[in-house]
Amino acid sequence: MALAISLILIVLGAIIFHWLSPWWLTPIASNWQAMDDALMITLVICAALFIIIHLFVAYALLKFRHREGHRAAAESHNRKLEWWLIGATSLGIIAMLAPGLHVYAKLIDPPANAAVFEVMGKQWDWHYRLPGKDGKLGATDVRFINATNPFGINPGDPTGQDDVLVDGNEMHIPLNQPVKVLLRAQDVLHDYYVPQFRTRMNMVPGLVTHFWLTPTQAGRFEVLCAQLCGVGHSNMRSAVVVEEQAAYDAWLAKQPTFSGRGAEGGIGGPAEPGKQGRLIASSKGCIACHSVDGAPSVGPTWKGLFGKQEALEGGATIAVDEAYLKQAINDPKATVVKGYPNIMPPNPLTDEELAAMIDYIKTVR
Amino acid sequence: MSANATLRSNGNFPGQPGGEGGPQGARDSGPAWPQGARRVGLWVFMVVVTTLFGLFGVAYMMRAAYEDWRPITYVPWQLYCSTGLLVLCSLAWELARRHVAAGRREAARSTSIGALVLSAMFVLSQLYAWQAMTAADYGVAANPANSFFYLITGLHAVHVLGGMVAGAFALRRAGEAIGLCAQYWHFLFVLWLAVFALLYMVTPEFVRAFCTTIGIPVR
Amino acid sequence: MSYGEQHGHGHDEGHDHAPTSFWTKYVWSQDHKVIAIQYTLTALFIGVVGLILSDLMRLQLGFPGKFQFIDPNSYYQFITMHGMIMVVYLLTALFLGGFGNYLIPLMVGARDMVFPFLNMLSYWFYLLAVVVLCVSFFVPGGPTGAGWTLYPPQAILPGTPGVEWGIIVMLVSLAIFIVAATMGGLNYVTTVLQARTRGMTLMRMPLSVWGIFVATILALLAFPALFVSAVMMLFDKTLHTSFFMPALVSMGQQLDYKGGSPLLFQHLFWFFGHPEVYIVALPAFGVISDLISVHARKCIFGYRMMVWAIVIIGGLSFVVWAHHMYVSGMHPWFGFFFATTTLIIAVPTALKVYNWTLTLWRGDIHLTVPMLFALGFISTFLIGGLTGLFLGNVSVDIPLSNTYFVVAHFHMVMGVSPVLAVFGGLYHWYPKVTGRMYSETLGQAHFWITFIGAYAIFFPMHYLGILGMPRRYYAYENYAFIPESAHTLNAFISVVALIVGVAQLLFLWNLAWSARKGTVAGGNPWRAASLEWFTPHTPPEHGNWGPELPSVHRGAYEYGVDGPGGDYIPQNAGPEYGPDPHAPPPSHPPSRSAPQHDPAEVPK
Repeated sequence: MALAISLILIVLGAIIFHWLSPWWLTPIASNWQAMDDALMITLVICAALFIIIHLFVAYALLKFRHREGHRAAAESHNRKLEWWLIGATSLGIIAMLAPGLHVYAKLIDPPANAAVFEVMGKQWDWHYRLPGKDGKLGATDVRFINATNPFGINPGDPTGQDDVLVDGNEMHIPLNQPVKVLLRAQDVLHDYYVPQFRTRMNMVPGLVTHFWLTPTQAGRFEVLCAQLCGVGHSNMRSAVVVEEQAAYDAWLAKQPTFSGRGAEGGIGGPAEPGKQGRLIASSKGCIACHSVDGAPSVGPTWKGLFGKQEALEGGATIAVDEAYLKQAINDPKATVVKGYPNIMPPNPLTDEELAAMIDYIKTVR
Repeated sequence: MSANATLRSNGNFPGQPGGEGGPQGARDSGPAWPQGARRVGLWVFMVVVTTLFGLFGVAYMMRAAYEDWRPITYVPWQLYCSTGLLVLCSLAWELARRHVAAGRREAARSTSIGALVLSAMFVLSQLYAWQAMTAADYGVAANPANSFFYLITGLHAVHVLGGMVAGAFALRRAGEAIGLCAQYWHFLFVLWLAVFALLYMVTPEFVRAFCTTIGIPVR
Repeated sequence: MSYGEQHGHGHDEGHDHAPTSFWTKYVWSQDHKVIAIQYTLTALFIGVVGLILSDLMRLQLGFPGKFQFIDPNSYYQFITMHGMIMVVYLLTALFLGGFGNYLIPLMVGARDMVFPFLNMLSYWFYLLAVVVLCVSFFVPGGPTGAGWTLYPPQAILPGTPGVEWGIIVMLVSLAIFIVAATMGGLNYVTTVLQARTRGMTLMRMPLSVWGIFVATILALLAFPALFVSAVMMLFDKTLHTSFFMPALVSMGQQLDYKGGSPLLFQHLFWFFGHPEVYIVALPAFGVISDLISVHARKCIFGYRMMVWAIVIIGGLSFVVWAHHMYVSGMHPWFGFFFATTTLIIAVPTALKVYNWTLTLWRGDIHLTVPMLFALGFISTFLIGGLTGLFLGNVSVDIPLSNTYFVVAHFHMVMGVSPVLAVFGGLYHWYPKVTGRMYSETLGQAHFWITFIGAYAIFFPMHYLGILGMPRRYYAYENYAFIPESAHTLNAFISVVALIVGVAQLLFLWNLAWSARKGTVAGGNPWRAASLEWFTPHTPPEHGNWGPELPSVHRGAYEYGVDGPGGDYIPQNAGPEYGPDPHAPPPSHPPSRSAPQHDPAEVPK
């Protein structure tokens, strides 16, 4: 009795929960409404089965519960019924699979005129690259990857010189234009996931994967890494901004190119104090845990760090000077700032990189 | 089939296995004999080992399709020795099995010991072959084909060693167990031929042709 | 002529006579029942460790940052160890090594497994695998935190916990487990094929045996794939080969790998991984069929179809693996193939669900504790299986992959329903194993808290996944698309998870206490028809059947008919009670002129 009632309550509870649930699909911001439709078809069919079988079992529990003098029927099978059920189930399966595969065929077939941009993922940040005016992305190789060249662009390749290397980790794309997103990874598996876009794909070192969409809603959308990539996995954050063509063009014009002004092979664009250190901090993943705007994060913020008195675990205080920073970067376990976990992975820098980093940290006020 | 009859009525069993009679007769018949159990067990194990090496073969073929693959062309002469030794092992175990069937206990025992010694020599010839490969600059990490070479021949040798442990037990138990060793060693020999063919005849071109024929897209 | 007379000769030395010393009776035992109990207790122990790990994870998810000792390193280590322990070291070991070892010989009428020494070895190798796994908690750097799926390159690169030693220890432990599973598997398969008693045809075996039998075949064929991938990853880690490792730059360092393929690992792993879930599910299916049949006093509906469904599901389970890889970057055309095979496998699975419910129909339902768990299984397996249809359909899967929808799905279908089947089976056969009945009150309390709690934990979780919350995240701070209510929900789920976790103590206490103090149960308290309930002694003694092996004259599900038991006919009751009334007529009646027996087998 209690179980029959529970099963009925589970059905009712599920239906009510579904109706009232504040947790549902994010508003779709791409052309893949058909994926949501396929989800709904699947949901309706599965929900129907869930409800029917639960109610059937609840009814059976009530009607056929053990009572004095009651005995079970001696039946053992019913071929006709079983085959009928197999047939009905198969129809239900086809009803779900057909729309699903129909959408899939479109998902894997990017239009020829889609614009292209490339995402390079690494532990634990994102870098974005666009083909420049020549419409081609420069050739890359792992051996060219270094702190200032996270994409590994071959400096000898002319088509790479005008590649746009997006400054920072916020990407912009124009509204209502199909775009094919090329995905690469420098070290481990990552996944470029924007829930509002629906489609996404893993990023695999050694491969270039892709997916495509047409963004249909303007706005700023969070990018999440959706393939476990180490301890910084949940801190690997980025954003994509969808905007009108004019605003997009304005943004694009401000982005540096690979050649730009500056050292050969270096990231182009206007020089600024601490720039080298900033690029290193970005490419080595430091900014995954250390903010520069004062926001609390996994590690201490760098805003106002240089010169302050820092409280350490164990009660001591220390003045944050160059020596302290050198040690904190190259031997993080030696001292731990009070209130922070002792989890900074070792990430040794060369002396030049160290000097550039310290210069940068000095500029963060 | 005579081998089967031998296994059913091996030297240790005083009576013939009984029938499955009973009121229901043939329709009601149950299982075969528990002493057939070892045979079935060995067949099942052989299927498992075949699956294991088959999967290595699949992994090999998938990896071979990548452009950094350099097929191995050098065949150390020690590998031909290994092959010959395995043939001799199979012959020795087969001989031992026939001795058991004919009731020649002592001959069976000494032939079995000979087979075990030959197996040990096989393992040593494998180690010698590895030494030759490394000396010829085919290090384990230098190229994936090399890595597979050491991995797959190593695992094969591990299965030979395992068989030798079972063979030592078989020496004590004699009878059916020696026939099972013969079967296992024939299997190890066929497996060895397959490994040899995989390492030296399955080239990237072969893999590409094979995959496109059966419809698997190759990037 | 019975197998018993072969007894002294068909086995290794030491098995001829019942063991006498404490050590040979309870420790170095070759008796399948003792080995089964050893497996079960070890699996339950490591399962409790896995349960504690899950509660630690939930503390962080529900109350982020409040527990300082749970940092990202530890969190990922907890996730990984929880997953690996539960899937492999608890569920697989418990269903095959625990239930398989205990039930197979008893249900088919054998005295023991056909290779008792190997059987004993398989337990000790399993225990060694568990010990090695636990050692990984104490090695420098701690256990691996790569997720139970252990994907390269991250599993062996800095940035993931356990790269120094943890991953190596894990892979070694898995290799040892695979050896143990192979040794056990040889036993289960060969015993079912070769040691059934007179009259026990394959189509008279209870579905518990069928489920475990087919699952064992799957295990024997699928674990090699895990072995292959584990050995290759060990090579990549220790010898710097490049099976799975492409050229890459890790933490600013160019490494000396090149050309390897992370996808190769995924294919190998999931070629094992998908059959693995059926290795857990098929025995659960079999056990549930038996529980429902006995406690509703009704023949299982559609026995033949149920057997075929188990076999077909087992076969198909080898061709669906890449539905775990839809967003892996594999060639897109594979998506069509695997979505189709995955949705096809739903058909025999659905048939099983229908047949369980049809067994209840017109039954005589006793809501005993085992029956409650069996019904709980139907409910939770239903929702778990249905959400699998979402994930099997490639384009529906793409936004849901690696979100909490997947976590909710696999917990319902692996972590809840098979565990309910485990509990149901343990309660059901408890009186057979111990001779005593468990405490009804504790059993009922255990059921209700676990069942309702499981729904409260995992049902809402699906919706977090649909929202888009990724899995394997340490924290979800400051995401615009995640409303505050989601954090509240996470806290709620964590509280329920803690309560359900603690409630399992009721079960453990019940098991331990009732073994001493429970009411004496008698040989067949459920009045069940299958063979294991008809041993001369309860608990069954060494050799199970006394001097004479049973003979079987019908299937295991003759309920609802007049018989010596009242409303059922025991499987080994004499032929005068009638042959199997539910068997289809033989398609080839025995010819009158041909001999009635195989000429090689001379009747006594």
